[in-house]
Amino acid sequence: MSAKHIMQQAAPRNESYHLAQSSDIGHAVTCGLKFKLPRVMGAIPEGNESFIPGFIAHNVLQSATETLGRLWRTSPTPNSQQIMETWSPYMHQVFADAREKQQGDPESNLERYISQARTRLLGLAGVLHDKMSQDPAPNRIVSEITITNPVTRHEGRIDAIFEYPEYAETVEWKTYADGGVSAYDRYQTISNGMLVNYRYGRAEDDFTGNILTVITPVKAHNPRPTELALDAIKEARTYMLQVLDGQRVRANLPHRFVCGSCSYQSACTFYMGDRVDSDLKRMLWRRRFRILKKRERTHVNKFLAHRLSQEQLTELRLAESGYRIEETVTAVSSTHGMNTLTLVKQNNYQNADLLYIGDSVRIIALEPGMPLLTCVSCLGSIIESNGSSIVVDVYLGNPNQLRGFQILLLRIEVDLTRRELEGLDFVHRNPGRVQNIAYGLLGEDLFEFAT
Amino acid sequence: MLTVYWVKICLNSQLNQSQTQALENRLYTEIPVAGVWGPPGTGKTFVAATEATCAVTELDQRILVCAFQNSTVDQTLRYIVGMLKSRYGWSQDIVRRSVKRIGSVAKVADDIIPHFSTNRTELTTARIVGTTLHSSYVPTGHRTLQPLSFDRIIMDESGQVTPEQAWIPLPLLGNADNARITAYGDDVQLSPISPDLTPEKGVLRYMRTMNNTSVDMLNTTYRLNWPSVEMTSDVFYYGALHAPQEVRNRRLVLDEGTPKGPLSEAVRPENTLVYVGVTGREVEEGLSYDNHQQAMVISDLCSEFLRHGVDPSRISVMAAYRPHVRTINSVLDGTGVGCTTVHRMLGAENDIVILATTRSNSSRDLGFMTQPELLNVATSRQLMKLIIVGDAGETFADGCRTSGRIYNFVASRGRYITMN
Repeated sequence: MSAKHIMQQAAPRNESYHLAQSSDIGHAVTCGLKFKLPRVMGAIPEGNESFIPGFIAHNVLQSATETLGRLWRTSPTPNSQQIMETWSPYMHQVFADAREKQQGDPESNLERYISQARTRLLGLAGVLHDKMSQDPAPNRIVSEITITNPVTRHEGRIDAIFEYPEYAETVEWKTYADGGVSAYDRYQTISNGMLVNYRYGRAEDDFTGNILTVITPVKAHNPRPTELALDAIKEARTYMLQVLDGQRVRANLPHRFVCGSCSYQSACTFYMGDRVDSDLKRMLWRRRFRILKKRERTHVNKFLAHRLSQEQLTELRLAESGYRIEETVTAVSSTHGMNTLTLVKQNNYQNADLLYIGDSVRIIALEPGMPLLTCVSCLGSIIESNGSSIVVDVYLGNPNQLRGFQILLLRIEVDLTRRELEGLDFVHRNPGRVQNIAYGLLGEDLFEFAT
Repeated sequence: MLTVYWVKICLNSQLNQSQTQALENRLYTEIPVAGVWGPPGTGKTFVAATEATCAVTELDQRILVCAFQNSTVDQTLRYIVGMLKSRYGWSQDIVRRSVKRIGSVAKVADDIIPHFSTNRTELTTARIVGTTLHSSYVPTGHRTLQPLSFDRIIMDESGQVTPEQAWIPLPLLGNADNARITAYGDDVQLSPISPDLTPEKGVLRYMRTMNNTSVDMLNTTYRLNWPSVEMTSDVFYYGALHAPQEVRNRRLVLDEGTPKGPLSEAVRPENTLVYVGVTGREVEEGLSYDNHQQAMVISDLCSEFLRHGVDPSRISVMAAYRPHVRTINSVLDGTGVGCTTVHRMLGAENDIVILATTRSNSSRDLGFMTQPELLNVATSRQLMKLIIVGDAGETFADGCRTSGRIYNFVASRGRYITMN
């Protein structure tokens, strides 16, 4: 069978390839519009800079989590100061990067945010100290792992999984939370837990070997995956996929009193009573769905990776295996925050016709017994290729945990659609000059729509 | 009427009439959005850089230079940096502080890296900032450029940009009446790809077809010699493109000795446009195609040029299919000549260009080489000589209307050689 036939059978053009993200499911369960506003309309959340300390702390944890396993095994009851010391090189790196960006900005509150981030990390270390004193050390900790389940069309990035011999623990860091967890946090964690179940070969709603944990700077929570919550998640997922496919589906709305604290309040008010000229409105919506279609195309390779064997993927030149990590260089330049990874092609593999400088790839560690799209992976772009080895700039994920595994490179399409949707939202919501210029770029008479 | 300042610019930079007209319209008229349509070799990047430097130095404006691809942004910035130093005498240090580049550092060219910055203060004080469209405006979190902080947006290669991509930097444009956007490009070269993988309309095509009055055409090419200029002009630009006499007469100079052997006709300097028909068939490689016989002929051609003293850096080889690029690169290994895809040759030029059409089949299927925009890029990169290495049958001649017109033009005005 020719490559084209294999492709057509594995990924027919009339099928839908949208994926529902766990983070969006968390929103969609609580408010259907809160999913649609950023993901379909392109609205940008409003608000102050209060998210920055949490954001900085989360950046530290992205790379520092891998050190926890070693510390847990060598010193089972470390105090929070010891944990902070282990994290300290990562903190310095992240703080230095943030300072570099803000250098010389007199209005910057960065030092205050860094101090808040440090306090939150100290809080998290305290909670971890309690946890490490009570629980045995896990066999392995994997962090920042992206799991795609093409069967349920569900995808999510899990902060950490603590792997024990008999079970796994799905861990979410909530660096911005002060104590309790919101409904959003709960649903997001449960949907990530569903993906973890899929990774270990269980039904997505079988939580028998999966503990859910949300760790805030104050305490650890264990959200319960009740039947009610699982049904709500599945319903929200179906709703999201229908919306992305362009179907008209009624959004479930929350009680109005929660809208006061929503970061999409003004966008929501605007779109609820949208009075923009009908021609412009029609054109903008048509373009939005074209962009969503483009986003959908970026997921096709994931479905192919799920449906085809590694040999078929190689034959189609979509994937290339037989690499191992030679060397990881973390943060070559603190200014640019660049991680590079050298992958060496093993001798017994033929060099396939896949990789070129500038190509984007998902670097997948082939973990035995795990579905391909649930294995530990990073995203990167190729910056050097000489036939026997390649150098990749890793822009998402932690490359150190790929060590020791055979590596498969899956070619991916970079999804740049978020910015395009945001541009549409800007044009939609800014009448007058902006809309005139937008029309000008469409070749329309600039002043026709101004009147 | 031209101002004294304008006369100075025109004399110093030797702008031609269409370039001067386009620049004058962009700097001294009230139209906030306009396009500059530049066919191959007409100097659109040069005009874009001139607009940017004039707007900074004479109108004291702040400029955002953007494009879809990183390489295009870097190329425009390279011109700007050169102009600021040579024409305005700015020191290296001032240029470094005035011209900045943002985006993904891994994708920035080495010579532009010194201009790369993530520092907000440096970016606020810079006069010209270069970025890809998608990195131009970050609404939250890592925002580096402030809204309403630019007076002018210069968008290069806008034929490749969809309207929604062109709208991304709009929040950065100031509200003042003199705020402007100029879209440079050529929509008859590579176009954006739609979700169903077919070419779609870019902003410049919208502007050109819907409101032609806001688009200036640059009609003098400094790249294509005779008869290439006539082929490109007739096939793609309705005969509107022309070249100055010295460009039309430009010819390759070979070291002593007359080329001999079956490919001698292709190598001779007087044959500036050549089609080499190869009998070998295409091979399917995954979802793509390869052609070993064409690769071997290209290897022989390159050897012949190198034997006559042509420096390898003066030869560019391109193919539309990636497996074929790899095969050609493997047969050219050690010669110093490299092969790349047609898409990556957009904006590039070289003295000798060899194009491999790859496809050769009984069903006359040219694949995506049937796109006129792709064929335009593929046949307009040469300064002195274009050699098309295609099939000896009818795949290229009858593959599509545009390839047929190119084939007929070469057969009647250039040289046709068959290789078995």
